[in-house]
Amino acid sequence: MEDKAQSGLQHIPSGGALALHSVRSSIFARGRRDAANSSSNPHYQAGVAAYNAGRFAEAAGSFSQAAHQGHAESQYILSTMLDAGKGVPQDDTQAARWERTAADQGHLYAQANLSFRCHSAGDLAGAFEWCQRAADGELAWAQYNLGLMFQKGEGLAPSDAEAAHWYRLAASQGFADAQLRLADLYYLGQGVPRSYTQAAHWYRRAAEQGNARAQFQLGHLYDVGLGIEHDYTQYRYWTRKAAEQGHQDALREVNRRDYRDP
Amino acid sequence: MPAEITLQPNPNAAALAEKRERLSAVRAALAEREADVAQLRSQMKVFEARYLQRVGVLYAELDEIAARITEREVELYDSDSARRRAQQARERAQQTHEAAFGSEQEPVEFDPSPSLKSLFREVARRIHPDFAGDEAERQHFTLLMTRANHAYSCGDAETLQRLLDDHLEVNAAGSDQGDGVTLLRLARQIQHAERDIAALDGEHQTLLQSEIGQLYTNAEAAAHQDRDLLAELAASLRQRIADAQHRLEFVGRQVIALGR
Repeated sequence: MEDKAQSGLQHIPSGGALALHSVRSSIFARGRRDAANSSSNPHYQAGVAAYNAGRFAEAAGSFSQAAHQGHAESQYILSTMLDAGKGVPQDDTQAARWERTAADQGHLYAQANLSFRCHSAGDLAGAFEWCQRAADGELAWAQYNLGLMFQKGEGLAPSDAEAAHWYRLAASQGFADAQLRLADLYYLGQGVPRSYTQAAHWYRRAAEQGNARAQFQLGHLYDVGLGIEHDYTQYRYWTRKAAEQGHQDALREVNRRDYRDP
Repeated sequence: MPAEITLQPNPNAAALAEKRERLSAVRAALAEREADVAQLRSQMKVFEARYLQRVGVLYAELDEIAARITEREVELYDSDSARRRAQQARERAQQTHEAAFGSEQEPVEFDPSPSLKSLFREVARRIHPDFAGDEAERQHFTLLMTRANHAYSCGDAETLQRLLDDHLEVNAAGSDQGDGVTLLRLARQIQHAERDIAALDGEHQTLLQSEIGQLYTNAEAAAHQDRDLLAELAASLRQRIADAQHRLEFVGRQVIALGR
Protein backbone atom coordinates (compact mmCIF):
# COMPACT_ATOMS: atom_id res chain seq x y z
CA MET A 1 0.00 0.00 0.00
CA GLU A 2 2.56 2.52 1.13
CA ASP A 3 4.70 2.33 -1.95
CA LYS A 4 1.80 2.55 -4.35
CA ALA A 5 2.34 5.37 -6.81
CA GLN A 6 0.20 8.43 -6.20
CA SER A 7 -2.50 8.66 -8.76
CA GLY A 8 -5.85 10.24 -9.30
CA LEU A 9 -7.20 12.81 -6.94
CA GLN A 10 -5.00 13.97 -4.20
CA HIS A 11 -5.95 16.06 -1.30
CA ILE A 12 -2.85 17.73 0.02
CA PRO A 13 -3.83 19.52 3.17
CA SER A 14 -0.68 21.25 4.34
CA GLY A 15 3.04 20.96 4.33
CA GLY A 16 2.96 20.49 0.58
CA ALA A 17 5.88 21.30 -1.65
CA LEU A 18 4.87 24.88 -2.42
CA ALA A 19 6.95 27.34 -0.50
CA LEU A 20 4.22 29.74 0.49
CA HIS A 21 5.76 31.19 3.61
CA SER A 22 9.38 30.33 3.24
CA VAL A 23 12.43 32.39 2.40
CA ARG A 24 11.07 32.43 -1.12
CA SER A 25 8.03 34.46 -0.38
CA SER A 26 10.11 37.65 -0.33
CA ILE A 27 11.62 36.95 -3.75
CA PHE A 28 8.06 36.46 -5.06
CA ALA A 29 6.88 39.66 -3.40
CA ARG A 30 9.69 41.54 -5.07
CA GLY A 31 8.79 40.18 -8.48
CA ARG A 32 5.16 41.07 -7.99
CA ARG A 33 6.05 44.61 -6.95
CA ASP A 34 8.47 45.11 -9.82
CA ALA A 35 6.03 43.63 -12.32
CA ALA A 36 3.25 45.92 -11.12
CA ASN A 37 5.59 48.86 -11.64
CA SER A 38 6.75 48.15 -15.15
CA SER A 39 6.48 51.13 -17.45
CA SER A 40 4.46 49.03 -19.87
CA ASN A 41 1.33 49.59 -17.78
CA PRO A 42 -1.12 50.89 -20.41
CA HIS A 43 -2.87 53.36 -18.06
CA TYR A 44 0.47 54.75 -17.00
CA GLN A 45 1.51 55.22 -20.62
CA ALA A 46 -1.79 56.94 -21.41
CA GLY A 47 -1.29 59.16 -18.37
CA VAL A 48 2.22 60.17 -19.43
CA ALA A 49 1.04 60.96 -22.97
CA ALA A 50 -1.84 63.10 -21.69
CA TYR A 51 0.40 64.86 -19.16
CA ASN A 52 2.99 65.72 -21.78
CA ALA A 53 0.22 67.08 -24.02
CA GLY A 54 -0.94 69.29 -21.16
CA ARG A 55 -4.25 67.47 -20.66
CA PHE A 56 -3.86 67.23 -16.90
CA ALA A 57 -7.40 66.17 -15.94
CA GLU A 58 -7.19 63.24 -18.37
CA ALA A 59 -3.70 62.39 -17.15
CA ALA A 60 -4.89 62.35 -13.53
CA GLY A 61 -7.66 59.93 -14.53
CA SER A 62 -5.22 57.54 -16.21
CA PHE A 63 -2.69 57.72 -13.38
CA SER A 64 -5.50 57.06 -10.94
CA GLN A 65 -6.46 53.89 -12.82
CA ALA A 66 -2.87 52.66 -12.85
CA ALA A 67 -2.50 53.68 -9.19
CA HIS A 68 -5.45 51.51 -8.26
CA GLN A 69 -3.70 48.63 -10.04
CA GLY A 70 -0.73 49.13 -7.73
CA HIS A 71 1.54 51.02 -10.14
CA ALA A 72 3.89 52.86 -7.78
CA GLU A 73 5.15 55.48 -10.23
CA SER A 74 1.54 56.42 -11.06
CA GLN A 75 0.69 56.58 -7.37
CA TYR A 76 3.59 58.94 -6.85
CA ILE A 77 2.69 61.19 -9.79
CA LEU A 78 -0.95 61.21 -8.71
CA SER A 79 0.08 62.26 -5.20
CA THR A 80 2.09 65.19 -6.57
CA MET A 81 -0.84 66.23 -8.79
CA LEU A 82 -3.21 66.07 -5.80
CA ASP A 83 -0.74 68.11 -3.80
CA ALA A 84 -0.51 70.78 -6.46
CA GLY A 85 -4.18 70.62 -7.47
CA LYS A 86 -3.11 69.93 -11.04
CA GLY A 87 -5.90 68.40 -13.15
CA VAL A 88 -7.67 67.43 -9.91
CA PRO A 89 -8.94 69.42 -6.93
CA GLN A 90 -6.22 69.95 -4.35
CA ASP A 91 -6.58 67.22 -1.70
CA ASP A 92 -3.99 66.74 1.03
CA THR A 93 -5.57 63.59 2.46
CA GLN A 94 -5.65 61.78 -0.87
CA ALA A 95 -2.17 63.03 -1.76
CA ALA A 96 -0.84 61.65 1.51
CA ARG A 97 -2.65 58.38 0.95
CA TRP A 98 -1.16 57.73 -2.50
CA GLU A 99 2.23 58.95 -1.42
CA ARG A 100 2.15 56.46 1.42
CA THR A 101 1.02 53.62 -0.85
CA ALA A 102 3.84 54.30 -3.30
CA ALA A 103 6.35 54.69 -0.46
CA ASP A 104 5.30 51.35 1.00
CA GLN A 105 6.04 49.82 -2.37
CA GLY A 106 9.57 51.19 -2.23
CA HIS A 107 9.17 54.22 -4.50
CA LEU A 108 12.14 56.39 -3.53
CA TYR A 109 10.73 59.80 -4.42
CA ALA A 110 7.48 59.00 -2.63
CA GLN A 111 9.49 57.97 0.42
CA ALA A 112 11.42 61.23 0.27
CA ASN A 113 8.20 63.26 -0.08
CA LEU A 114 6.58 61.34 2.74
CA SER A 115 9.61 62.02 4.90
CA PHE A 116 9.20 65.72 4.12
CA ARG A 117 5.47 65.53 4.92
CA CYS A 118 6.22 63.89 8.29
CA HIS A 119 8.85 66.52 9.00
CA SER A 120 6.42 69.36 8.24
CA ALA A 121 3.88 67.75 10.57
CA GLY A 122 6.48 67.59 13.35
CA ASP A 123 6.76 63.79 13.20
CA LEU A 124 10.54 63.57 13.36
CA ALA A 125 10.66 59.81 13.93
CA GLY A 126 8.56 59.21 10.81
CA ALA A 127 10.62 61.70 8.85
CA PHE A 128 13.79 59.90 9.85
CA GLU A 129 12.46 56.43 9.08
CA TRP A 130 11.26 57.27 5.58
CA CYS A 131 14.32 59.33 4.83
CA GLN A 132 16.50 56.39 5.80
CA ARG A 133 14.61 54.06 3.48
CA ALA A 134 14.99 56.43 0.56
CA ALA A 135 18.67 56.94 1.46
CA ASP A 136 19.22 53.18 1.50
CA GLY A 137 17.78 53.19 -2.00
CA GLU A 138 20.63 55.46 -3.14
CA LEU A 139 18.53 58.61 -3.46
CA ALA A 140 21.09 61.42 -3.08
CA TRP A 141 18.60 64.00 -1.75
CA ALA A 142 17.55 61.60 1.02
CA GLN A 143 21.14 60.73 1.88
CA TYR A 144 21.89 64.43 2.20
CA ASN A 145 18.81 65.04 4.36
CA LEU A 146 19.61 62.08 6.57
CA GLY A 147 23.03 63.63 7.07
CA LEU A 148 21.31 66.89 8.07
CA MET A 149 19.10 65.06 10.57
CA PHE A 150 22.13 63.39 12.14
CA GLN A 151 24.04 66.64 12.25
CA LYS A 152 21.17 68.57 13.85
CA GLY A 153 20.10 65.61 15.99
CA GLU A 154 16.51 65.79 14.81
CA GLY A 155 14.58 63.03 16.56
CA LEU A 156 17.80 61.20 17.45
CA ALA A 157 21.13 61.71 19.13
CA PRO A 158 23.27 64.02 16.99
CA SER A 159 26.29 62.38 15.38
CA ASP A 160 28.70 64.16 13.07
CA ALA A 161 30.29 60.84 12.14
CA GLU A 162 26.95 59.47 10.90
CA ALA A 163 26.28 62.78 9.18
CA ALA A 164 29.63 62.53 7.40
CA HIS A 165 28.79 59.01 6.24
CA TRP A 166 25.53 60.05 4.60
CA TYR A 167 26.91 63.33 3.22
CA ARG A 168 29.65 61.34 1.59
CA LEU A 169 27.27 58.93 -0.09
CA ALA A 170 25.26 61.84 -1.49
CA ALA A 171 28.43 63.79 -2.33
CA SER A 172 29.86 60.88 -4.36
CA GLN A 173 26.68 61.03 -6.41
CA GLY A 174 27.44 64.66 -7.20
CA PHE A 175 24.95 66.28 -4.81
CA ALA A 176 26.45 69.77 -4.35
CA ASP A 177 24.89 70.63 -0.96
CA ALA A 178 26.23 67.38 0.48
CA GLN A 179 29.69 68.07 -0.97
CA LEU A 180 29.64 71.45 0.79
CA ARG A 181 28.55 69.97 4.13
CA LEU A 182 31.14 67.19 3.91
CA ALA A 183 33.84 69.72 3.13
CA ASP A 184 32.73 71.76 6.17
CA LEU A 185 33.07 68.70 8.41
CA TYR A 186 36.61 68.08 7.08
CA TYR A 187 37.45 71.75 7.47
CA LEU A 188 36.30 71.77 11.12
CA GLY A 189 37.37 68.20 11.88
CA GLN A 190 33.89 67.24 13.07
CA GLY A 191 32.93 63.57 12.76
CA VAL A 192 36.02 63.01 10.60
CA PRO A 193 39.71 63.67 11.21
CA ARG A 194 40.42 67.27 10.17
CA SER A 195 41.80 67.37 6.64
CA TYR A 196 42.18 70.59 4.64
CA THR A 197 43.08 68.52 1.58
CA GLN A 198 39.76 66.68 1.74
CA ALA A 199 37.96 69.93 2.51
CA ALA A 200 39.51 71.59 -0.54
CA HIS A 201 38.63 68.56 -2.69
CA TRP A 202 34.93 68.63 -1.74
CA TYR A 203 34.66 72.45 -1.76
CA ARG A 204 36.00 72.33 -5.31
CA ARG A 205 33.48 69.67 -6.39
CA ALA A 206 30.63 71.85 -5.06
CA ALA A 207 32.18 75.10 -6.33
CA GLU A 208 32.42 73.70 -9.85
CA GLN A 209 28.69 73.08 -9.66
CA GLY A 210 28.13 76.75 -8.87
CA ASN A 211 27.61 76.59 -5.09
CA ALA A 212 28.38 80.15 -3.86
CA ARG A 213 29.52 79.30 -0.33
CA ALA A 214 31.76 76.51 -1.62
CA GLN A 215 33.27 78.96 -4.10
CA PHE A 216 33.95 81.43 -1.31
CA GLN A 217 35.45 78.75 0.93
CA LEU A 218 37.62 77.40 -1.87
CA GLY A 219 38.82 80.94 -2.57
CA HIS A 220 39.64 81.29 1.12
CA LEU A 221 41.67 78.05 1.10
CA TYR A 222 43.62 79.32 -1.94
CA ASP A 223 44.17 82.60 -0.12
CA VAL A 224 45.63 81.06 3.01
CA GLY A 225 47.14 78.00 1.29
CA LEU A 226 45.43 75.37 3.41
CA GLY A 227 45.15 71.92 1.82
CA ILE A 228 46.23 73.43 -1.50
CA GLU A 229 49.10 75.66 -2.67
CA HIS A 230 48.44 79.34 -2.12
CA ASP A 231 47.31 80.76 -5.45
CA TYR A 232 46.28 84.41 -5.67
CA THR A 233 44.71 84.14 -9.13
CA GLN A 234 42.58 81.21 -8.06
CA TYR A 235 41.63 83.03 -4.87
CA ARG A 236 40.44 86.06 -6.88
CA TYR A 237 38.65 83.88 -9.41
CA TRP A 238 36.59 81.88 -6.90
CA THR A 239 35.83 84.80 -4.60
CA ARG A 240 34.55 86.81 -7.55
CA LYS A 241 32.39 83.85 -8.69
CA ALA A 242 30.84 83.73 -5.21
CA ALA A 243 30.34 87.50 -5.13
CA GLU A 244 28.60 87.37 -8.52
CA GLN A 245 26.01 85.20 -6.88
CA GLY A 246 25.51 87.71 -4.08
CA HIS A 247 27.43 85.84 -1.36
CA GLN A 248 27.74 88.54 1.33
CA ASP A 249 31.21 87.70 2.70
CA ALA A 250 32.52 87.33 -0.84
CA LEU A 251 31.05 90.72 -1.84
CA ARG A 252 32.68 92.38 1.15
CA GLU A 253 35.97 90.68 0.35
CA VAL A 254 35.85 91.68 -3.32
CA ASN A 255 35.00 95.29 -2.47
CA ARG A 256 37.85 95.49 0.03
CA ARG A 257 40.25 93.91 -2.46
CA ASP A 258 39.18 96.17 -5.33
CA TYR A 259 39.78 99.17 -3.10
CA ARG A 260 43.20 97.88 -2.07
CA ASP A 261 44.19 95.99 -5.20
CA PRO A 262 42.24 97.12 -8.24
CA MET B 1 -62.43 -10.96 2.99
CA PRO B 2 -58.97 -10.95 1.69
CA ALA B 3 -56.72 -8.78 3.61
CA GLU B 4 -56.06 -5.68 1.68
CA ILE B 5 -52.44 -5.44 0.88
CA THR B 6 -51.42 -1.88 0.75
CA LEU B 7 -47.87 -0.91 0.34
CA GLN B 8 -47.43 1.57 3.11
CA PRO B 9 -44.62 3.76 2.07
CA ASN B 10 -41.99 3.56 4.76
CA PRO B 11 -41.85 7.10 6.16
CA ASN B 12 -38.08 6.79 6.45
CA ALA B 13 -37.55 5.61 2.89
CA ALA B 14 -38.13 9.06 1.39
CA ALA B 15 -35.82 10.70 3.89
CA LEU B 16 -33.20 8.04 3.28
CA ALA B 17 -33.37 8.43 -0.47
CA GLU B 18 -33.14 12.18 -0.10
CA LYS B 19 -30.08 11.91 2.17
CA ARG B 20 -28.38 9.42 -0.13
CA GLU B 21 -28.89 11.70 -3.08
CA ARG B 22 -27.56 14.63 -1.12
CA LEU B 23 -24.50 12.67 -0.01
CA SER B 24 -23.62 11.64 -3.53
CA ALA B 25 -24.02 15.22 -4.76
CA VAL B 26 -21.80 16.59 -1.99
CA ARG B 27 -19.20 13.92 -2.60
CA ALA B 28 -19.18 14.69 -6.31
CA ALA B 29 -18.64 18.36 -5.52
CA LEU B 30 -15.85 17.41 -3.13
CA ALA B 31 -14.10 15.32 -5.78
CA GLU B 32 -14.34 18.19 -8.23
CA ARG B 33 -12.95 20.64 -5.68
CA GLU B 34 -10.06 18.30 -4.94
CA ALA B 35 -9.25 18.13 -8.62
CA ASP B 36 -9.37 21.94 -8.91
CA VAL B 37 -7.05 22.52 -5.99
CA ALA B 38 -4.65 19.81 -7.16
CA GLN B 39 -4.54 21.41 -10.60
CA LEU B 40 -3.96 24.90 -9.19
CA ARG B 41 -1.20 23.54 -7.03
CA SER B 42 0.61 21.90 -9.90
CA GLN B 43 0.17 24.96 -12.14
CA MET B 44 1.65 27.16 -9.46
CA LYS B 45 4.46 24.72 -8.88
CA VAL B 46 5.39 24.95 -12.55
CA PHE B 47 5.05 28.74 -12.46
CA GLU B 48 7.20 28.96 -9.35
CA ALA B 49 9.99 26.97 -11.00
CA ARG B 50 9.81 29.10 -14.15
CA TYR B 51 9.86 32.32 -12.12
CA LEU B 52 12.89 31.28 -10.11
CA GLN B 53 14.70 30.17 -13.23
CA ARG B 54 14.01 33.30 -15.29
CA VAL B 55 13.67 36.06 -12.68
CA GLY B 56 14.85 34.78 -9.30
CA VAL B 57 18.40 34.18 -10.50
CA LEU B 58 18.57 37.77 -11.77
CA TYR B 59 17.55 39.11 -8.36
CA ALA B 60 20.34 37.02 -6.88
CA GLU B 61 22.81 38.51 -9.34
CA LEU B 62 21.60 42.05 -8.64
CA ASP B 63 21.87 41.63 -4.87
CA GLU B 64 25.31 40.12 -5.21
CA ILE B 65 26.55 43.20 -7.09
CA ALA B 66 24.82 45.50 -4.59
CA ALA B 67 26.62 43.70 -1.76
CA ARG B 68 29.97 44.08 -3.53
CA ILE B 69 29.35 47.79 -4.01
CA THR B 70 28.73 48.35 -0.30
CA GLU B 71 31.80 46.26 0.54
CA ARG B 72 33.97 48.39 -1.69
CA GLU B 73 32.47 51.49 -0.09
CA VAL B 74 33.76 50.21 3.24
CA GLU B 75 37.26 50.09 1.72
CA LEU B 76 36.69 53.62 0.52
CA TYR B 77 35.32 55.19 3.68
CA ASP B 78 35.70 53.05 6.72
CA SER B 79 32.90 53.81 9.19
CA ASP B 80 30.42 51.94 11.35
CA SER B 81 27.45 52.77 9.17
CA ALA B 82 29.31 51.76 6.03
CA ARG B 83 30.20 48.44 7.59
CA ARG B 84 26.63 47.94 8.79
CA ARG B 85 25.30 48.67 5.33
CA ALA B 86 27.74 46.23 3.78
CA GLN B 87 26.78 43.54 6.25
CA GLN B 88 23.07 44.02 5.60
CA ALA B 89 23.60 43.95 1.85
CA ARG B 90 25.64 40.77 2.15
CA GLU B 91 22.96 39.07 4.23
CA ARG B 92 20.31 40.07 1.76
CA ALA B 93 22.37 38.75 -1.13
CA GLN B 94 22.76 35.44 0.65
CA GLN B 95 19.04 35.19 1.32
CA THR B 96 18.19 35.94 -2.28
CA HIS B 97 20.75 33.43 -3.48
CA GLU B 98 19.27 30.76 -1.27
CA ALA B 99 15.75 31.60 -2.40
CA ALA B 100 16.70 31.52 -6.08
CA PHE B 101 19.06 28.56 -6.12
CA GLY B 102 18.15 26.67 -2.98
CA SER B 103 17.07 23.24 -4.09
CA GLU B 104 13.63 21.94 -3.34
CA GLN B 105 13.26 20.67 0.16
CA GLU B 106 15.70 17.83 0.41
CA PRO B 107 13.81 14.57 -0.01
CA VAL B 108 13.72 13.33 3.54
CA GLU B 109 14.25 9.67 4.05
CA PHE B 110 10.88 8.10 4.80
CA ASP B 111 11.08 6.80 8.30
CA PRO B 112 7.68 6.88 9.97
CA SER B 113 7.50 6.68 13.72
CA PRO B 114 5.91 3.52 15.17
CA SER B 115 2.89 5.54 16.34
CA LEU B 116 2.35 6.96 12.83
CA LYS B 117 2.67 3.47 11.41
CA SER B 118 0.05 2.03 13.72
CA LEU B 119 -2.24 5.01 13.16
CA PHE B 120 -1.99 4.49 9.42
CA ARG B 121 -2.72 0.79 9.86
CA GLU B 122 -5.79 1.63 11.92
CA VAL B 123 -7.04 3.98 9.20
CA ALA B 124 -6.24 1.66 6.30
CA ARG B 125 -7.95 -1.26 8.00
CA ARG B 126 -11.21 0.69 8.08
CA ILE B 127 -11.26 2.52 4.77
CA HIS B 128 -9.64 0.06 2.45
CA PRO B 129 -11.67 0.02 -0.80
CA ASP B 130 -11.81 -3.79 -0.75
CA PHE B 131 -14.01 -3.65 2.34
CA ALA B 132 -16.55 -1.28 0.81
CA GLY B 133 -20.20 -2.33 0.87
CA ASP B 134 -21.20 -1.00 -2.52
CA GLU B 135 -19.78 0.75 -5.56
CA ALA B 136 -20.39 4.30 -4.26
CA GLU B 137 -18.68 3.47 -1.01
CA ARG B 138 -15.82 1.81 -2.86
CA GLN B 139 -15.22 4.98 -4.84
CA HIS B 140 -15.31 7.06 -1.72
CA PHE B 141 -12.94 4.73 0.10
CA THR B 142 -10.51 4.90 -2.82
CA LEU B 143 -10.46 8.67 -2.39
CA LEU B 144 -9.96 8.43 1.35
CA MET B 145 -7.23 5.84 0.86
CA THR B 146 -5.36 8.19 -1.48
CA ARG B 147 -5.53 10.89 1.17
CA ALA B 148 -4.38 8.51 3.84
CA ASN B 149 -1.46 7.34 1.71
CA HIS B 150 -0.41 10.89 1.05
CA ALA B 151 -0.76 11.95 4.69
CA TYR B 152 1.27 8.93 5.74
CA SER B 153 4.06 9.68 3.28
CA CYS B 154 4.19 13.30 4.54
CA GLY B 155 4.15 12.19 8.17
CA ASP B 156 0.89 14.11 8.56
CA ALA B 157 -0.57 12.46 11.68
CA GLU B 158 -3.26 15.10 12.01
CA THR B 159 -4.96 14.16 8.75
CA LEU B 160 -4.71 10.46 9.51
CA GLN B 161 -6.27 11.04 12.90
CA ARG B 162 -9.10 13.02 11.32
CA LEU B 163 -9.77 10.25 8.80
CA LEU B 164 -9.94 7.79 11.64
CA ASP B 165 -12.16 10.03 13.77
CA ASP B 166 -14.52 10.56 10.85
CA HIS B 167 -14.82 6.87 10.31
CA LEU B 168 -15.40 6.14 13.97
CA GLU B 169 -17.96 8.90 14.23
CA VAL B 170 -19.89 7.65 11.19
CA ASN B 171 -20.00 4.13 12.57
CA ALA B 172 -20.42 5.03 16.22
CA ALA B 173 -24.12 4.22 16.05
CA GLY B 174 -23.37 0.61 15.22
CA SER B 175 -23.29 -1.29 12.00
CA ASP B 176 -26.86 -2.56 11.86
CA GLN B 177 -28.92 -1.61 8.87
CA GLY B 178 -31.80 0.05 10.73
CA ASP B 179 -33.17 3.13 9.06
CA GLY B 180 -32.51 5.43 11.98
CA VAL B 181 -28.90 4.39 12.18
CA THR B 182 -28.44 4.72 8.44
CA LEU B 183 -29.95 8.20 8.48
CA LEU B 184 -27.60 9.29 11.21
CA ARG B 185 -24.65 7.80 9.39
CA LEU B 186 -25.60 9.59 6.15
CA ALA B 187 -26.02 12.89 7.98
CA ARG B 188 -22.52 12.60 9.42
CA GLN B 189 -21.01 11.67 6.08
CA ILE B 190 -22.63 14.68 4.46
CA GLN B 191 -21.33 16.86 7.25
CA HIS B 192 -17.77 15.55 6.79
CA ALA B 193 -17.86 16.10 3.05
CA GLU B 194 -19.12 19.66 3.50
CA ARG B 195 -16.40 20.36 6.04
CA ASP B 196 -13.77 19.05 3.60
CA ILE B 197 -15.16 21.25 0.82
CA ALA B 198 -14.90 24.28 3.07
CA ALA B 199 -11.31 23.36 3.93
CA LEU B 200 -10.45 23.03 0.23
CA ASP B 201 -12.05 26.39 -0.52
CA GLY B 202 -9.94 27.94 2.20
CA GLU B 203 -6.84 26.34 0.74
CA HIS B 204 -7.73 27.60 -2.73
CA GLN B 205 -8.02 31.11 -1.32
CA THR B 206 -4.74 30.83 0.55
CA LEU B 207 -2.97 29.63 -2.57
CA LEU B 208 -4.22 32.51 -4.69
CA GLN B 209 -3.58 35.10 -2.00
CA SER B 210 0.01 34.06 -1.41
CA GLU B 211 2.68 36.18 -3.08
CA ILE B 212 3.39 33.55 -5.74
CA GLY B 213 -0.37 33.12 -6.22
CA GLN B 214 -0.93 36.80 -6.87
CA LEU B 215 2.06 36.96 -9.16
CA TYR B 216 0.63 33.97 -11.01
CA THR B 217 -2.72 35.74 -11.33
CA ASN B 218 -1.01 38.86 -12.66
CA ALA B 219 1.00 36.83 -15.16
CA GLU B 220 -2.17 35.12 -16.37
CA ALA B 221 -3.90 38.49 -16.77
CA ALA B 222 -0.91 39.85 -18.70
CA ALA B 223 -0.88 36.77 -20.93
CA HIS B 224 -4.43 37.63 -21.95
CA GLN B 225 -3.07 40.92 -23.29
CA ASP B 226 -0.33 39.04 -25.15
CA ARG B 227 2.25 40.18 -22.64
CA ASP B 228 4.90 37.98 -21.07
CA LEU B 229 5.19 39.27 -17.53
CA LEU B 230 8.24 37.20 -16.65
CA ALA B 231 10.09 38.30 -19.78
CA GLU B 232 9.31 41.95 -18.99
CA LEU B 233 10.54 41.50 -15.45
CA ALA B 234 13.71 39.81 -16.63
CA ALA B 235 14.41 42.59 -19.13
CA SER B 236 14.06 45.36 -16.56
CA LEU B 237 16.21 43.40 -14.11
CA ARG B 238 18.97 43.00 -16.71
CA GLN B 239 18.91 46.77 -17.10
CA ARG B 240 19.23 47.24 -13.34
CA ILE B 241 22.06 44.71 -13.23
CA ALA B 242 23.90 46.64 -15.94
CA ASP B 243 23.42 49.89 -13.95
CA ALA B 244 24.67 48.25 -10.76
CA GLN B 245 27.67 46.80 -12.60
CA HIS B 246 28.48 50.28 -13.87
CA ARG B 247 28.27 51.65 -10.34
CA LEU B 248 30.49 48.87 -8.99
CA GLU B 249 33.13 49.70 -11.56
CA PHE B 250 32.84 53.39 -10.67
CA VAL B 251 33.39 52.69 -6.96
CA GLY B 252 36.24 50.37 -7.89
CA ARG B 253 37.93 53.16 -9.82
CA GLN B 254 37.50 55.48 -6.83
CA VAL B 255 39.18 52.92 -4.58
CA ILE B 256 42.14 52.75 -6.96
CA ALA B 257 42.26 56.52 -7.40
CA LEU B 258 42.42 57.11 -3.65
CA GLY B 259 45.00 54.33 -3.37
CA ARG B 260 43.20 52.27 -0.76
